[in-house]
Amino acid sequence: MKMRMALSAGVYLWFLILILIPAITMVEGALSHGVNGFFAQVLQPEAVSALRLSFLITALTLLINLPLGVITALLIARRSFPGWQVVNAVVDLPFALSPVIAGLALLLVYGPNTLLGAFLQNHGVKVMFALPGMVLATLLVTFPLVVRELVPLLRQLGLRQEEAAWTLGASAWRTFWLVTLPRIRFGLGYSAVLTIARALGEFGAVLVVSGNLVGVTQTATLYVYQATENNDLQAADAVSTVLALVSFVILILMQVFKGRGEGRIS
Amino acid sequence: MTIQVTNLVKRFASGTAALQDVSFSVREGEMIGLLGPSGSGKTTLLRMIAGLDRQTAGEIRIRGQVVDNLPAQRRGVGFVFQNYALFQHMTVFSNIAFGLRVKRLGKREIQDRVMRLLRLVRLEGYEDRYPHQLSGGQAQRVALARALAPEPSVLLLDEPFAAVDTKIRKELRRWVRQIHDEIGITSIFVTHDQEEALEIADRVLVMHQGRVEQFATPQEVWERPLSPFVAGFLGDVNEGAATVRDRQVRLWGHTFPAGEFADGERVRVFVRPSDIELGPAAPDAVPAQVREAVWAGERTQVRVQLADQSTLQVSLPSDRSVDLTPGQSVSMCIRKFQIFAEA
Repeated sequence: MKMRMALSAGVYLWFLILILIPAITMVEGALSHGVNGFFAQVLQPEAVSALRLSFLITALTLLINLPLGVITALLIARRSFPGWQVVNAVVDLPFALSPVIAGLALLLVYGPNTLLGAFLQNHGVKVMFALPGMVLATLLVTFPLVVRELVPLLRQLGLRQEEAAWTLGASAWRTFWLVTLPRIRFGLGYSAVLTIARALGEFGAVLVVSGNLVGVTQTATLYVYQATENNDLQAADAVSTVLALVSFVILILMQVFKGRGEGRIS
Repeated sequence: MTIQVTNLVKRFASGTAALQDVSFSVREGEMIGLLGPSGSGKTTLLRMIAGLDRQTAGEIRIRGQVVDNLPAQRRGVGFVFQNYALFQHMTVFSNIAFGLRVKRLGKREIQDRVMRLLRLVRLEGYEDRYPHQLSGGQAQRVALARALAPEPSVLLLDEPFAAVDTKIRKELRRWVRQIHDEIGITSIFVTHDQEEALEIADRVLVMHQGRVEQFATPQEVWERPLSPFVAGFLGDVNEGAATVRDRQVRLWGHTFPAGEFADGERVRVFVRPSDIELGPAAPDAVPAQVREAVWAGERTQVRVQLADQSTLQVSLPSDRSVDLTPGQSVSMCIRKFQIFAEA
């Protein structure tokens, strides 16, 4: 009993030091000049543009990675093409790779001094140090999230209900929409939320490919980093607090999806 | 012929053969029991007829049409899965209506047909339930109604009663047979339970190691098994081996006529427990000694020992007035037997 109390106290203390005190300090810093001061910081043109860019990249990433992840997960889970084992292994690569290196890899392929990069630039497509490159970098680091969540789920669910739908005359397409998608919706929701969290918080990969141009290619996290460097802690705290609030909502959504997903697996 | 299977072969990527040269045909309106131990290839065969698996070689015809290149969607075959595979996120109504909505039938027609099917499977009032709110037997009936909804010409059932408890099982299988007769469909069901197959099938297809061992009426399969496997698989059996001498087989103190087998051939003899009769000890009869007698309702299972120390299982109607106390001497008479060449 004493042992357990000591352990719980230890966990609470650690939680306090690690999460609660820094979080409170950050919010306190953001509000050090009052609520108006906080809004003044958040509404600065550079901050607004950075936050807007972060949300835009996140939305685009979600839009591309969700369908792509579902298709990849279906192919891997159903072992429906030769070499699925290879794809299954490679999917995890972004997890193992430091985001900075992922960004660098993109730069080496699409940078202005490379063959492909120069070719694209000559045709009016600027990939690096622009939105496409930043979305590409975010796509790269978030790609495993949907796949890794859905492959085990799909394997666990099996193919019986889909086969039942086929024998009832439903095409592969209709079967996906009417049977498969509803059954994986909570897993998909969970991985979407994970993707949002990861995309919003991405720093390393985006730093390498963005060029960090204020008001153009500066995301919220890059803005916070820059402000900290410039010793403008109030600006850093304000934007950080916005990101933290979003994270809090994400956390709640994650719990919702996780709980429902576990309760309704059939 | 509603279903015609010709020289069907299925080999898996690993090289193991699941089916080897399977041929048979099913007449319109028949109910066929696919019987065999697990791993004998019966589910594989069923899935290939449905178009869920593809054969390595051979041909399948449904109502005269070669269906080998038709996907499952276009074979017009209803399938009831072993664990029902009901759509868990849909109500009973939506489950049954699925095949009709896919066909894009009108709302009214769907409503009418689903209600008619619910009446048929005696689940009126259950249309708004979800599968997890149903008992095993109810889920089974929903699965059946769902498979029947698009009015398939052929109904395939994979171990349809395996997940239902024994008591409901007997009731359910007679009822499935009744529905089969009522709507005049052709059906094939897979089972490893010989009692199930013998009771409701018009003909039984016995499978073993990917081959058809016998395809005949339940009575014929029971009374005239074509192979040692069939003789041994359908119910309990006493088995012995001997060599033919003077056109006779001597075993268990009995003399069996050797029939087609020549002197010197090794043969296996099969006798069902219910084909052995016991009586009071008599000087001119084969003597035996009761070892054990287990009363099981209508019948009593007796183990007797013979003069040559071998033991036999006997199944007697419990009302026989024979003293079955262990150690008691009795006389034994074998009414029916089967002889096969030793493999």
